[in-house]
Amino acid sequence: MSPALAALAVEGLTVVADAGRGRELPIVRDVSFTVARGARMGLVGESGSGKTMTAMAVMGLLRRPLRITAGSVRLGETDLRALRGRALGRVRGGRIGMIYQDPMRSLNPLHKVGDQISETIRLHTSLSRREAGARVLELLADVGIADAAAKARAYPHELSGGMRQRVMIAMALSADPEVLLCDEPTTALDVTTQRRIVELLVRISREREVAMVMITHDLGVAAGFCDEIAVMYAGRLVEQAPVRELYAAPRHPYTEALLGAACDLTLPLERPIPTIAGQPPLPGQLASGCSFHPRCPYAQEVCVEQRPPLETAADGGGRVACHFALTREEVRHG
Amino acid sequence: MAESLSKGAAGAAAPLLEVRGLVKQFGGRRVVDDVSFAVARGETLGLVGESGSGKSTSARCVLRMLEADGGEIHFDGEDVLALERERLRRLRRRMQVVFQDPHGSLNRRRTVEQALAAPLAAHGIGDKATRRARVAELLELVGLSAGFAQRRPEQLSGGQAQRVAIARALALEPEFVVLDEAVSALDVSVRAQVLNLLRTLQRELGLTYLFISHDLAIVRYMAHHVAVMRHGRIVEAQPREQLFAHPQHEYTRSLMDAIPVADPETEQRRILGVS
Repeated sequence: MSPALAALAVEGLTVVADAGRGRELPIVRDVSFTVARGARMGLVGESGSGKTMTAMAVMGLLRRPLRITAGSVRLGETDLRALRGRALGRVRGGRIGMIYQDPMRSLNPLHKVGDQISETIRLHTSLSRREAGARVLELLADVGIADAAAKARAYPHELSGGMRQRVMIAMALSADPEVLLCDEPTTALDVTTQRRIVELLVRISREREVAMVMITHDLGVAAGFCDEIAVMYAGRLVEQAPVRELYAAPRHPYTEALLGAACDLTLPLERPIPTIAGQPPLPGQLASGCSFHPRCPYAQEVCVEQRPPLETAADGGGRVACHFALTREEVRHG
Repeated sequence: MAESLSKGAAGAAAPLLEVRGLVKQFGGRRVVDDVSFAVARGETLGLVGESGSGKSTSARCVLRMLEADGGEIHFDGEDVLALERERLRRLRRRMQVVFQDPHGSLNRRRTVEQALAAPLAAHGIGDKATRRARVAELLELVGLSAGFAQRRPEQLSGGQAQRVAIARALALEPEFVVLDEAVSALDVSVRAQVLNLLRTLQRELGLTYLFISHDLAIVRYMAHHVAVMRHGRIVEAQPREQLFAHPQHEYTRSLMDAIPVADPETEQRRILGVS
């Protein structure tokens, strides 16, 4: 797929945090990916891996001490980094939207949810108040809220967590976005509600051909939602592949370890859960060479000395940044 | 594992904790409605349910952080609800709790050493030097190096902070620990480390756990018996193997079906099939 056709194309995105006295901490390091119309990509990694910061940078929402030092973010033909002020405001929340783990972060507790959605609609369209009101009810029905008229009159605290997340999704859809970034949208929800929200997002991406990026640390949720997965570690993409390939045959040791530590109903009970030794590194304390080498069971001298580039895998199905990806693959097939 | 199971079987006659007909109301609404369960010594009871099901409220009544409105709670033969201040204080040494938010439960201004020594000092245990030695022991027990003693909460990752919270809960050598969504806020790999640690501690110290979680997959890994709560009631309680092999209640089955599996084929068939 040519990047020009992508709904979202991120190229060489680099974010630093200014730590004073000219010192810069690397937060996001040279991240590139594209998401096609209607496609669903997962951005997976542990806390501190840079996945949320990547999304915030894409949205142009970074504040000091964080800033983008390199890279481009394109929405179709539009270069988001070239936009300022009102032009950026029209795109953000318009053509590209974001939903968060905690909907209360974006909902005003003092206003009825219907009024808040209506306000967003009027910000991004020329609809009248009355038309916007009708649109609110359509949107709420669209996101699976029965009794939309009553719910529109509710205040955020009067709704359950799942209902609030639906309201957030309705609000994000109000401007008919091309791209939706979802930051751990189901993490705070009960499992049964979680399943229904994932179903809703999948349906929306299909019906409206919205490109979605889901940020999550839950590989179970990502398995159901995504058709492509990008794995982040210490601010870099370390692997990207179609979802089935990635789960069936992870190429990066970090991906393999993450999958091994996942807890589902098939976990053997009699032995410890496989874990990744140690902790994810802090931005100022990255190891030399491959940042994962201190925790990697396969690490060799070259991993300490040289940073492996993110390269297209031998069979062309994805990208991986590991000196031994090919060797490990041969072992697996041999 | 086999060891703790056999221990459990030996203690099955007299459970360490027994709760009968527990009731707790808030504003006339029964949040806990006639709840009964027992936990055998050295075993884990998993209390599973969605938010608002009454599982944490039940545990808080057991710990007397909340006063029950009805029912009976017996801990090692003692009538917990009848205990007066001094005897309740002594009982509380034997029952501890670890909550979900490790950072929220630690005082930001205290070092790890101060946090771990505080319960010892409060119960007049040891002098400064012996308490310091005990802190070092506790850190080692939860897999943290001695250097962590002088750190403050903001210098700890989520997993490290939760290890400190576990160490603090173990400071007074309790027999019984309530783990209230204790790993829910942790990342996958850190969560696995903490779950492994909790199982090791149970085996080595003979601890009895009440393990509260909304996640059945984790409960399956941790608990010998499982009670499923919904709307303040226990809808099903079974030994682990039976519950997962033959869930009796429809609600238990729906919870099991909703657990995501880290397998795209299965998971997408479930989700895309119905969308």
